[in-house]
Amino acid sequence: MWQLSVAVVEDDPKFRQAFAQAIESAPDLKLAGAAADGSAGLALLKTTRPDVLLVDLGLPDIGGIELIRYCAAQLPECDVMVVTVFGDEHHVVGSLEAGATGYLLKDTLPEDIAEQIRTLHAGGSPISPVIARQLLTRLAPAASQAPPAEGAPVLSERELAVLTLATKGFTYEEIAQMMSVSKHTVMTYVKRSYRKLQVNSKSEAVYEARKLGLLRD
Amino acid sequence: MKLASWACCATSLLAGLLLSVLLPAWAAVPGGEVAVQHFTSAERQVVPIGPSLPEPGVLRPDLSEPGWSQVALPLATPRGPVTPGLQDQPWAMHWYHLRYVLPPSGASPPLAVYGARVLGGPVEVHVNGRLLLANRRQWTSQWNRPLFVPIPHDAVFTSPGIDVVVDVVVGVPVRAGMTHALSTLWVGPADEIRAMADRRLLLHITGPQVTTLTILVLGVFSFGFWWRRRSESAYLLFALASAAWWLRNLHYHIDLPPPGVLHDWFWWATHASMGWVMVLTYLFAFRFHHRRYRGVEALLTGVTVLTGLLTLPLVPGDALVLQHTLNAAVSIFVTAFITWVAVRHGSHELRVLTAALWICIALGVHDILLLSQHITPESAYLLPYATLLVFGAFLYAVLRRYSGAIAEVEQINASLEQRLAERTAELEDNHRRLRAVEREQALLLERQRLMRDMHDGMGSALMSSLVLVEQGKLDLPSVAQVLRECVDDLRLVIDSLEPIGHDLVTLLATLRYRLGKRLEAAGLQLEWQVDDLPPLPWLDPTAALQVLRIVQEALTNILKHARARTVRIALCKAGEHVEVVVTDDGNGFDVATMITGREGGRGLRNLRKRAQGLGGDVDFSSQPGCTRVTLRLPVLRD
Repeated sequence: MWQLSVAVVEDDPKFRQAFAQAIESAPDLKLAGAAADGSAGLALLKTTRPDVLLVDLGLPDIGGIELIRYCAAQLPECDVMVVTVFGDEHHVVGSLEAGATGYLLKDTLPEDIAEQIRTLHAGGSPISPVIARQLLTRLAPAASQAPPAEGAPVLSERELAVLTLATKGFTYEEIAQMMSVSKHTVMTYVKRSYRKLQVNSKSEAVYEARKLGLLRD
Repeated sequence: MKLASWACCATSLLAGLLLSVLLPAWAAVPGGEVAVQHFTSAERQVVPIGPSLPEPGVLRPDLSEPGWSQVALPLATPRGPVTPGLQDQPWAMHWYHLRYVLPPSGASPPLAVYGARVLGGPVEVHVNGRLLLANRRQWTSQWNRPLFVPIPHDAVFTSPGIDVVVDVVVGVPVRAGMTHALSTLWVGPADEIRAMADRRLLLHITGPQVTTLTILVLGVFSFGFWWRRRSESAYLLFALASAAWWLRNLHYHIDLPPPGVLHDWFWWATHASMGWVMVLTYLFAFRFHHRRYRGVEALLTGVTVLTGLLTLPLVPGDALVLQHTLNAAVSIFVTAFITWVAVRHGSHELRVLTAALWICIALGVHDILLLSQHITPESAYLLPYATLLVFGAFLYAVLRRYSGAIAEVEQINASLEQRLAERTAELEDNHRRLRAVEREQALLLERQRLMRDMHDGMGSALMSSLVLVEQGKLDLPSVAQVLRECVDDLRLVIDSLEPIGHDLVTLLATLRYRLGKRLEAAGLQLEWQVDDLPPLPWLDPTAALQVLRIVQEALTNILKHARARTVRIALCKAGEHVEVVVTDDGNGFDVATMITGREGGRGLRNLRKRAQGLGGDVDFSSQPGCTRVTLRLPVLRD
């Protein structure tokens, strides 16, 4: 049976163990390896090239963000799921910008962990109203504000609609019903928005670097 | 700079003009035998006439008579300061003879006679015995006009082998005691002689006319300036000075009236106005310097009025020389005073003006000497040109002051801008500091709120649970329950701090996102119904936490007590309020007894208290199958 390989990078041994158990107990998931710090995580990624990476942001050596960046650049097929305590905007948006497409709350029940890993790999990224709001602010600024940086991606109308409904607290099912599309399609829009946020943050970085004279045209 | 170059130009023009007249063109004589001859001496004969002067032509010069003696030209007998009235003195004719000889070529070009001036009497000119000019009626106009007489062809006898002789006799009839003057004379080809006379006319008449009119135009300009700015009286003085100067020089512009009362008054006006020119000029200089010297000004005005009165035509005698000498003395005194002022605390402009005034005085003294026949009548009156210099200095001063004012304005503007920029920077700095203080204040308040919240909520819950656990009175599921509640509450605190832009919908959406799974797990179906709501400006993290707690409490109550199957959360706007309506289809409760009751009532009262703390309220309505909790919040809060 084909199994989804999942790598776990988490410095807290209890959580690491909990994640590992949740993965191993699911028949369709396979633990590619578990690392306790960033450098071990990096080595793990290089050797195993997993399908999904579960990563904590607060690692003792290399930051989780660095790991996410590496993954986004070197392992484009790998879905990155960041592990947070609260799923708050500050942590999640930073990870999304680095290239993550999902997040997992630390208190999630074990059976739900496996389910969320499957959903993410199938293209279904979760989104909270606050995160949706942040995406709208970054990617579809009001006309009165400064125009987006050159080359920055723009949200499509459907993506805009999905994010707007998400800020109002509607679930994927409800949004799919309202827009007369499948739930999967709605999730695709969300994932695309995450990718655009990543590109946007890159082009913003380039734009800022140009302004500072760090980069030539 | 412009003015200086202009003045320089004018000076060189003037110098050129003078040179061309005073050093006439011997060099211009062509190589032919007919040359201009300059006579610096003449034969003179004085013939007494008697009490009355006969018509011209009656008395003729006789070259064969004895009594001719040689005199040098120019000839001038100085006038006294005052010329007494000599109406009853006998006349005497002064003949001056000169002989112009051409070689015996048998032909002669047209010839003419020229002299710079003949003063003192009505001149007449005889050539080879024929009377060519007699200026009896208009002789007073001779004072500044050159003598020019073309010699008709038939007055000259030509024959081959015989010298062409031209005997020119200039006659000046003068009463005994009167003075007269005669410049050197020139005889020669009419073309060249006419050119010399024209140049002389240009220097004597046309030049002063031009300068006078120029100054008058400046005066009009100055008057216009004063008209717009009445407080600047200096410009009015300048205008009046230029007008007085124009009056002074009126005799350059119009033909004099014939001798008589009108003639006398005309001359009086022109001479008296010289004094007024001086007064106004000096007053201008003082005003321009922004100083008043009342004593000097009174003295000036007094002297001018006095000399004007003393020289009225009604007073016998002619005090012209005395009058102008007095003027010169007064102007030397005042100019010395101005010089003292200029040296002590004068501006650059006043110094230039003073220099011009001194030049003016020098040339004025020259003119008085010319008038009183102390120097050669060949010279020209120079005061009109000097005055141009003075007015030029005025103009220079005005221009300098004007450009100085502009520069000052520019400087003031620049410094204003700089001060404005400084003030703006200061304000920005203050603003920034204020913002920082505000931010710190907000952070402090936030921290205090969190502390209080943790102290009263999570802290006390954990503490009491800890005591129970240590006493072994709390079983594991209860511990998990306590911890779960703590995490939930912590999550509410975190969510209340998220950036939601005062949007109640997003705030409650977050709550739904959090609780959705749990409600589902409890078998509750959630209906979510939201309208677009306006942002609530008062919805800061503190208020957001209260709202979250109220709604979470309502949901928790349903989970714990209602045994409902569906719960509906609706957000809508109702007038000046927004409403959050939580409806369930559970058992319901008796609102009245619950509110007044001791145990369960505390929770509801607590909800109401929290809502009222936000400026809103909570309504309860319940019957089996439909229990509704309505949280009403204002859109705007004081």
